[in-house]
Amino acid sequence: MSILRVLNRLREWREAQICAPYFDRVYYLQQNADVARSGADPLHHFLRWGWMEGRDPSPNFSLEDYRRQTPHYDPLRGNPLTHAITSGVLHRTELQPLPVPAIREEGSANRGKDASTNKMPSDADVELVRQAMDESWYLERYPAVATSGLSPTTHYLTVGWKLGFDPSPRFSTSYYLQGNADLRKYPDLNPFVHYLRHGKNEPSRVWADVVSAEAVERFRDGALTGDLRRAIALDPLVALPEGRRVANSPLIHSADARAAVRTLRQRFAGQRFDYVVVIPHVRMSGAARVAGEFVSALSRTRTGKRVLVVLTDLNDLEHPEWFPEECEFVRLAEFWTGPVAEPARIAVLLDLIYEVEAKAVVNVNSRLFWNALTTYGRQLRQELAIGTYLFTWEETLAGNRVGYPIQWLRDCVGWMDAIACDAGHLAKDVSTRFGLTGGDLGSVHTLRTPMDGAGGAFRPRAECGRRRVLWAGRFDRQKRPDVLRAVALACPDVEFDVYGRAVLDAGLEKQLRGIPNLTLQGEFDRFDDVAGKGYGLFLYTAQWDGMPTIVLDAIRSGLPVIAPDVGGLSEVIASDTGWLIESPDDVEGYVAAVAEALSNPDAARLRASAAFDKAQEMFARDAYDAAVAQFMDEIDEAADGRT
Amino acid sequence: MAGPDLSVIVSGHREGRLAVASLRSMQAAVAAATSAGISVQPILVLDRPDDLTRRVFKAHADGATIEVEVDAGDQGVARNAAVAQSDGRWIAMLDADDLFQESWLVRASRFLDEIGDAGVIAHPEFNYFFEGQATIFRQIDQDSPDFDIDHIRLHNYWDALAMCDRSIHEAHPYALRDIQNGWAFEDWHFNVVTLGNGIRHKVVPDTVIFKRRQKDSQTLRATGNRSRFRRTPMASYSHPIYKHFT
Repeated sequence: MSILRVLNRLREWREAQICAPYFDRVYYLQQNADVARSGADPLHHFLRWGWMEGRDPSPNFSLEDYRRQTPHYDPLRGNPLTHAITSGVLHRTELQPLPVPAIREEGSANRGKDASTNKMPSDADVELVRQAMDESWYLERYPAVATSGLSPTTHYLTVGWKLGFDPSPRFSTSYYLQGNADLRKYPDLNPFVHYLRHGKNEPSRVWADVVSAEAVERFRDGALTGDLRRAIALDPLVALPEGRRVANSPLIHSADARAAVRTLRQRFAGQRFDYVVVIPHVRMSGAARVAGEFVSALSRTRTGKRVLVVLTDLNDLEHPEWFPEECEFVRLAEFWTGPVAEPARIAVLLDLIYEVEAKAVVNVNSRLFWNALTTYGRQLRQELAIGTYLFTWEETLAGNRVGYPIQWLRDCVGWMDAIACDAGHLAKDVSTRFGLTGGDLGSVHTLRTPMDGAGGAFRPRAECGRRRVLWAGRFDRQKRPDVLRAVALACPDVEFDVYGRAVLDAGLEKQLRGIPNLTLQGEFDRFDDVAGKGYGLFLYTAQWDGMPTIVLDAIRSGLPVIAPDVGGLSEVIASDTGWLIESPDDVEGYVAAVAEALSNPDAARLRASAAFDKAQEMFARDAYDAAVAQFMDEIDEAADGRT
Repeated sequence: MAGPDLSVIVSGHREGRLAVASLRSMQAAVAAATSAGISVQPILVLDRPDDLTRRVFKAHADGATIEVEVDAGDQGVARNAAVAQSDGRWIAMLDADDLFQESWLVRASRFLDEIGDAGVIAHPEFNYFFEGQATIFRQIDQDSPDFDIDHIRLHNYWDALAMCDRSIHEAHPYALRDIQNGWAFEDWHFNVVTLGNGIRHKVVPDTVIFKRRQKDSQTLRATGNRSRFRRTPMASYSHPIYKHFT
């Protein structure tokens, strides 16, 4: 091989290295079918012949436009793409204009599917990056972009990232690629888009702000290299562990959590709340409804005290009407743009509780607060008063009891200043298991949820004897839709109207389809809307329970009730106030009760009336308020002793 | 007679021979400071030390060194005791398993001198973690756009190995650590309290402290122990400092 050929090969190899990042192989082959047919390497073809034949290397780089707009370019010295890169036009530190005409601005019809190549990115990617990008910083750092005719976002998404430009001081493009080796397998993957869509929520991802990323270089080969060497001379362990150093800074933590604490501080600047009530969500659930009753009772019994309600687990605030009008809500989930690790969510919740200077927290089924208490209970107990409102446990498929009153309470009972239960049987169970038998050992309050309309006269809305049955609730395992199905099938001459939806367990609704005498009526907002539609009785099925508010709704509406003997139901339903089914699986028992209730309208009416009277007494609002006041007295007393 | 420009406090407990490199780094940094015309008072404080650590410390003390020993089991208390013995205009802290950058004392002194504000704490720009951890932690200047007043309630910005006017430590002694009851992170607590009291935390460009991260470091123990720091006045949206931030 002649020296000339060797030199030419070397030059081609060098040019290939330079141009490869900007050369769109797919585009080149699509535009040049003859090259595709020949099987030639497209980049090699371009460098050797293509550029002289006017074949563009990329949809974003027009050879013709470049020649026309770059007077100092001399074709005899090589191809325009190499020239653009090596002459500084595309170089990050130069201020030369970029090859504008070939790159289309947003709105182009030739948009690509993603930001992975220097084709135009999708609208979604543009919007995603635009929101996260610091455009003014980008323009200041890379002044050439201003004359490129491209917006900073478009520039970054098309050519900027390939040049190693950083979209914001908070994100180093090159550091992300260097630190996440798996991503380098995809040369067209835009690192910032990946970070925003996935990486920021992946704990194993390595990323850094620009200054921190550059710090690694400052120790490797910069102002701090000598200091590092001197330290290593004092102790060779300073050099260990070997390998790549990871940049870290306070900035490398959940951006969502940072935004949350800032936004909350701005929203509540200068405000104080006496109590924080933490609840998981306000969906259609008995616990959420009870939370509303509890907060309403607080506003009646603790006049002048401010209450902040924090939805900790889900964003749903479907029934604000269950709470007092003046109630202030915070929905933590609205701050999470992606999965946020639980410690960060706990930190935000505790920060809010402290910053509003609450003296007490009452937990009404918040999973996040239960977990916060499991982790930090001993410290919180020293600075805040803590109360919890318990509902029923749950049962596993094997029939074992689990849930907040079981494992969580086991871990946290020592941090509680006051415990309340929504039913007597649960209060008794908790006090027995944990020795909360009064005095110094503590006690358990029973807060019987007030029945709407309690105190009024009995106004039966049932059409006793009519062969129409109402069922309403959640299509979840707990509520035994399978038992409902079996009962409906066993009573073909009775119509069953079924209201509700699945909340926790998807897919169980299908068990209720295809039954001729069962109609799925969808959801309802208020029980009263459906109770007066001519039903002969209310059927309730459940595997386990506390004191279901829906049963109280049925009693209040004057409907005779058939319910299983689970949870606190026997406290109100008995043989003189309804039909209590001994076992939640006892389909025959349900069927017999339905037959008896519908064939004896007078007896049904009598039992409904007796149930109403009993519930009036047990679930009176005054009694509830008094019980809440006692519960809160205990909490206030504890709070007064805290720092 | 005027006191020294700077008191350098090295606190140890059971570091044993690991303290040798730290004390040598301290001596090198003190020598550099002395050469630059900065008078330095070394203070070696031991808290419930083992015999070896005590002997290592003794071997690195000279006639000008103040030696303090406490029985606290609490690094903050040990530092407070050392501050009480100090005469320097400024105080610089070092732990006996970490290493000073040779020029740290000079750079931080000049930095504070130029600012001329006794209400400033000078932090190294970086903490370079070694041995059990390969990270370079960047500390954020309070006056930098990267500083977020709210974020300090979630994460600590600065550690205790800083330099500042002695009066700052006298006015803000470290809080008691109480691991048993879940209280630690006395440096984080110190930062929040000083910040709330108008002290400015700044970083000195091109400076670093080399921090040994051992498997049983106090910070890792505190994290594993699910510790928190005690409530501070800044734990209130009504704190006046927030008025300066939107």
